[in-house]
Amino acid sequence: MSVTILKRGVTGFAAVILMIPFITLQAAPPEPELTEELIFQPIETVITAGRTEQSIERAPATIAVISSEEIKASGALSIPELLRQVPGLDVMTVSSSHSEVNARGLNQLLSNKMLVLVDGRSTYFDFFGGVIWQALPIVMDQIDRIEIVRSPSSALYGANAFSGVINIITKTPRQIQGGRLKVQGGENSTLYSSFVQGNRKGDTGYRVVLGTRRMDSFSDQDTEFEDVALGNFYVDHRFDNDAKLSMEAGLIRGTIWQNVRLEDVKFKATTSYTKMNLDYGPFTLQAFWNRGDETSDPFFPGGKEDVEILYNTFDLEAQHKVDLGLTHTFIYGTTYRFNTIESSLIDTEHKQNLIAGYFQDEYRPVPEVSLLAGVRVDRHPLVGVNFSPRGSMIYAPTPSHTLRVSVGRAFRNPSFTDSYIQVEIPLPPPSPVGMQLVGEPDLDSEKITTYELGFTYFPRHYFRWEIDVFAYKFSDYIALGAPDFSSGIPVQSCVNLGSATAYGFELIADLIPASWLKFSANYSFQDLDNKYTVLQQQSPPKNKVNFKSFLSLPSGFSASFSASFVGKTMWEIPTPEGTYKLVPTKSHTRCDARLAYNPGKKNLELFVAAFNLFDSRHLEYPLGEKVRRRATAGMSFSF
Amino acid sequence: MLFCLKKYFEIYGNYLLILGMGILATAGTVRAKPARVVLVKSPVWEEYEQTSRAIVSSLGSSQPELSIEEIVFETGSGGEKEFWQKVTESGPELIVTVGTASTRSAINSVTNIPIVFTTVLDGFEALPAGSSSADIHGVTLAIPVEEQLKIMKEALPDIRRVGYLYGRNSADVYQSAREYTSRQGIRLIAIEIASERDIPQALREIIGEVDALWMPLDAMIYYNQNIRHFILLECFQNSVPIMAVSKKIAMAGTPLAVDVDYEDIGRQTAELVLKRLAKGTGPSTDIQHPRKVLLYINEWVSSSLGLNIPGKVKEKAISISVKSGR
Repeated sequence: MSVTILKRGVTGFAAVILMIPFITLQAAPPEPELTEELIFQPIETVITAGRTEQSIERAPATIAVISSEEIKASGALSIPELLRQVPGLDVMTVSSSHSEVNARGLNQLLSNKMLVLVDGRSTYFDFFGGVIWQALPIVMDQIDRIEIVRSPSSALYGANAFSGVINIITKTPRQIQGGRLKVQGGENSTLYSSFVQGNRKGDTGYRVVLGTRRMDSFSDQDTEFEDVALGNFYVDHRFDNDAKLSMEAGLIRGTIWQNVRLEDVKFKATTSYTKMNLDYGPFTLQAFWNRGDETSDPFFPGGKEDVEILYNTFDLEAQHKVDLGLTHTFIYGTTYRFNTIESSLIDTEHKQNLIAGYFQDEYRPVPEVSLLAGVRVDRHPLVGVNFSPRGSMIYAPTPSHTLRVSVGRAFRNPSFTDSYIQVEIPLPPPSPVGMQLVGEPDLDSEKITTYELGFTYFPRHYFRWEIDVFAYKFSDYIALGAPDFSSGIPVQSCVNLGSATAYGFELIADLIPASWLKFSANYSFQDLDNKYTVLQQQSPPKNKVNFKSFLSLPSGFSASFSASFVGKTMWEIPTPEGTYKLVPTKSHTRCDARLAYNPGKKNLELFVAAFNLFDSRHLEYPLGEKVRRRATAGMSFSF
Repeated sequence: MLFCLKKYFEIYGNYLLILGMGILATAGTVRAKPARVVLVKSPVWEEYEQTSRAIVSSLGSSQPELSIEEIVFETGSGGEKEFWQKVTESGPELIVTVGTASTRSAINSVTNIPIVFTTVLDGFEALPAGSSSADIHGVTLAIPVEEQLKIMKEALPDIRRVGYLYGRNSADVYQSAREYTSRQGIRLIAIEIASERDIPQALREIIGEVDALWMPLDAMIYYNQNIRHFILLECFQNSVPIMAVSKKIAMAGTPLAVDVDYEDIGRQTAELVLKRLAKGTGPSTDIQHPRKVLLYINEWVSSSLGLNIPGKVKEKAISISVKSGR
């Protein structure tokens, strides 16, 4: 009943927004007067050698942006470490090299609810449905910014943008203009190196990136938990007719460890991509090919067979944007995705064709109001058609106040393992037979409907605060259900379990009291009513607090410090017997710090960075490793 | 013959001497009453003061001599009408107004006295319609579109695509820019902005497409400091150089900006005053753009962006070094 009401609510909201353009509204107010006082008035220095402060004027959506300056100031070695400070995101460190990220209380092992894009390329791993952060062939120094949308975005991005989108945007050749070499190493045998070189000559630009990452397990200093080498290159050319064509490719190869079900498993993986983009005025075309080839030790204790996974994804997307006068922006597009999967974990080789079409209209009847409505239709060979509407209204009565109301529906299709997994896992003695894990081709998509209300206030350019309130209903959660022992052979099948409702809010404040000092803090609260897991008792942390500061001193020193508090979390974890048990992880606080020194020459920087500075040795996932300190030192050289 | 002339002077010489002295005395009496000019300056800004000082200095050394009275435009309880009544009671031959506030008020309130305005951004065209005086002259602060783009092209000779965001009141600027850039082989990638809130999205749309952003004066772009900050930061982070207007925005972080020389604006205004006084009676109109335009280069920002500004441009430009936090 309530689901029906929600569906009607979403559809009705979108319909109302689509109708509003036909309602006559008052004319736009006149522009401010152009007088010489505009150029006489003092302007505070925005860009100096000592800082490039984070812009406070940002899109009025539930969106967070991590800039390249923040990435550099953090000294982070991986993207999940950066995301820990984002309000509303749940980041857990499972082991030394393995982290999981999700939004607003839906985190889990092999997290599959957020879509991760690198320059618009989906890194979604269709095999299990999610992203493997260690397998992204990029280095931190090539990232320009990370935009995080922590609300359902299926209306534009389709399946998998379930609880949000993480869009990693890399630097263009013009932004790089030269080279940068960085080496960082320290505790846990951590050694990270990267080389980024890029430039533009006339209408052609290029970028070359090389990198290595290596680190040991937190608990076992003799086990390399990550040892990879990676590279990527990019080249673009702009033609006289303003068309821009870019080609890029990347590859990462090495050993990574991932926690799978009960324990950490070693993978030997090679993942690569090739991508082409064509921008011609309002028309954009993107084509890419993701390929992965992974082998691992047996996933389950006592297993005999190595696991092999080989997948290919071909993706083609076309989008056209139309400006209908000054008040309407209309976007429409279509996508086609073709997947092939071979694995010893599933019954046979599978191929899959996915198609989708979408449109979105933004209407600005008066400058203070923006109405957005969109819908996307996706077709999946097993699930059928999914319909994802989305609507929002943004009201900015003054330049310093923004109010946003939005409602949207998103979905996640079953992954290949959800539909086709077929593997026997040994059960501990005295069981004479193993447990059969079986996929289910007739699963429904997971669905979520989210309501949001956001308010942003930035009275001065150096101060901003924001509050976002949300509520969502989540249904048809896909997971392995309770084991069935009725046939004599224990079977555990993928099923659509139950639903959940949640509500919460996020409070954010940014303060830049001086050009050399910046503070940022946020608090997230969430309360989830769990009726979706097997025991229906898993619950995310209710309270999370983040704080970070950045200080730049005249003597060439700069320092950053951040702290994150995560409340108690209840986990339902699998047991060797195939059942589930409830295990908590305690609330914990983690601090990171970085101190850098620029010894007069602006192209050389020496730094020390420590993660989990006070070595709190806490568990963030019950079957993971205790998180230890990772103190590092390094240098970067620009030329 | 010579004898006759000598005799003639002996008889009438004294009369000629007296007549000559009389003519000289009359002429001396005229020079002793110079033309009266009232300079009414809008309050507050230092730029008005600079311009006014230059006007007074230039007119003070002019021939014929002028009488100059400086007044600050401040209306009391009697309002603008009473203010201008007092100004005109003294019978000035010309009124100089400095700044939009005094200029606009003078045009609405003063009749039959020539007005020369200066240090007004939007020029005569933007002043209120239905003005009672047609005898209006002036020097605006508006730097012609072609001149701005010419300077930009000289400073950044490799640019081929220039981005431009403009409000709906700047459609004529856009047209001029489009015509000029097409003649120069530059592609102008422009987006008309309906409201400030559209600027972030519009800028992000073009920022990857352009070699530089042209930011001429536009109320939609310059009015809100958050918008200005956003544009400066976004362009800096994307390595897109900005060519803006005003020294102060160059100090804030644009690599390039054009501005006027306020002392030269004062001298140019003084020349216009003399020209109008020499013309005598009869209404006329003469509105001029600034004749001297300065290029400011923010050295740190331009070097951070890796701009290769030709040496001959740098020689003529004024360098700005902003103290940094380091």
